[in-house]
Amino acid sequence: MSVLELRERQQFDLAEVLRSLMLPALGVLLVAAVLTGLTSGAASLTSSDVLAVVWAYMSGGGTADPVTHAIVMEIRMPRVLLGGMVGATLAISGAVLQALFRNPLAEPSIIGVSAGAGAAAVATIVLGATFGSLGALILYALPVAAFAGGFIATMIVVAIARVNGQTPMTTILLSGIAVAALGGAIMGLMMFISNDEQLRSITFWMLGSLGGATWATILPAITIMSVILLAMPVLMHKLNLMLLGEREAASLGLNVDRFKYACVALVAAGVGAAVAVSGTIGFVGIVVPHLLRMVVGPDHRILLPASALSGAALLLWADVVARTIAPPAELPIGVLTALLGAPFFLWLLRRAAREGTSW
Amino acid sequence: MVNLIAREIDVVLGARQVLTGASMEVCPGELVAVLGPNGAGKSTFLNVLSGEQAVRNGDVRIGRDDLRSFSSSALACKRALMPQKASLSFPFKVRDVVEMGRDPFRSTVDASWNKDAVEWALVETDIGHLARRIYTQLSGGEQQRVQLARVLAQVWRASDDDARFLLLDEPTSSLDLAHQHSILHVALELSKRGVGVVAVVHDLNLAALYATRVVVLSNGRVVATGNPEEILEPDLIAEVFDLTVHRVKDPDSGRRLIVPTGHHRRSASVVDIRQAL
Repeated sequence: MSVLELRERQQFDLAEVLRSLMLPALGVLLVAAVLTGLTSGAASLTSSDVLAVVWAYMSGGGTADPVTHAIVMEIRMPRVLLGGMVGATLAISGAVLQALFRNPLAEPSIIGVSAGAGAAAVATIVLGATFGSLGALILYALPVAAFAGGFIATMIVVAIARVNGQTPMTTILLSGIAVAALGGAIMGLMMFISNDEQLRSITFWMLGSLGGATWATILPAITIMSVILLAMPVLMHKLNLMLLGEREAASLGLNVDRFKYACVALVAAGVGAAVAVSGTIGFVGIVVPHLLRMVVGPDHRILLPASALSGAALLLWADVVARTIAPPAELPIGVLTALLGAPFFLWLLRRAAREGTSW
Repeated sequence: MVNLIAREIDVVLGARQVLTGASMEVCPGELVAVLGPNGAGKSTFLNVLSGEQAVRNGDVRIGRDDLRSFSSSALACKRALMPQKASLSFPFKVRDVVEMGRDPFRSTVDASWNKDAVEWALVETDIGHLARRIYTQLSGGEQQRVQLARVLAQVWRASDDDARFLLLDEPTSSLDLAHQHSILHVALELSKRGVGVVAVVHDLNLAALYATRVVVLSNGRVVATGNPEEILEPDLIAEVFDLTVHRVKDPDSGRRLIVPTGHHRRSASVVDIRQAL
């Protein structure tokens, strides 16, 4: 048996080397994205300025310049943290759903979470003003409503799909489409009865943005999103079993139905929280895991952490571009990710079709 | 000795009664071949034994404990099931697939035991040389051996004091002749090490050669069970399989081989039609 192992080790495996370098490389990319996110913007700072502020903050000393401190710690840090968490959450959620559905085209929106969150957010913008001024409360009412709407919509999808103690993924898919259509109709209705100012906030929200991130608004959302990140070590083994087949997974001791529920609930909570504070940011959830699967293969022990790192890095880089491409205006980040993501995804589809595989 | 016991099982799927009063007992140390024509209920019976298929009447026990009282993870440590058709369509490496068989023991036993189990299963199923290949790029027969290695790894133990069962649904269906024999040989060796093995097999000679006992199913009922030499006689085969056979003594081993000579006359209705004309 050791002879067998020895023979295997002697072969130089390029794919294996690539795979082992993947996580460290993505980690470096993420650190670079964080630093760039903290240094670039209206007031240009150097990395050493930023590191000085962070070092002063960590060590408790007050040596840093107060203006620089405010820019880094109060304006850019929450935004960078939010961007990283949202990107990681969207990418992991996409990977989880693609495994559950055994389909590379699955993404968070197909379980109804985005539509539910959107409908609730838009309704809050329009009706909140109608039923009395929410004033400053809108800052909190909007994310709370969006999160609740997304989560409830997903639970409705899953409840409808559940028959005789089983929840077939195809039925979840179909009821997800129906609930998403319903959410879209509610959004349309709300836009129809909204006034110009509300329509503008709705549009801005739907385009997605990391702007407006403050510690107070992002902390609840970040707490919720961190749950799916912390669940990764458990998820990765079980998702591999799911790829083996539902029967095989069951005979290996996985309670398949309960696991599906847990995954869908985790994704609904994570994506609901992400959408609640940053609006709808498309294509991260579908493209990131799909692309990584081509490089590292289907094994979720690598795929999930790699998705988290690349999702975070991608969104941070996109935010840097969105902030700096046409100052002082900010391009909505959702527009940017879709603008880059959609053509790239089409290219992937063509490539996969040529090679005769969808994975 | 802790046995796997199914008693008076009735299973209804849709409008069809698939199993009727079917009973069977598997002891550790046995290799039981389940035989019967297509649609006799063999796969369903195996799924009942694994606890996957719910029954209308009857119960399945390991020793004294009803299968339903086990959690799915506890059950995974007691028995492994290899379904007839594998549904894996993702480019995992062969070793990764076999390692998944040890998932029930990932946090409960020593990591080196799990590693040993995987190595042993790779060698026993003759796929050591494929360990780093991509599963989806293998031939059907090679894939079947990988799936077999996965379930072998699942029932492997460093010590042999715990009863466990291996349920194989047509494990030889896509294999060449040599590998058909080597797989059943592995199953037999495994049974000698204290595993109760149940295998659905179509080749009667293969069953006669390796099984310590056969269970014959027909229309959802167990019609015969016992020693293969005694059970597999021409009358029963004609009755159950609609097949006329001779038994020929192999001059070397002295075993009696089953040689099909043609379709059984009962269904050869050409004769009846001629007479009617």
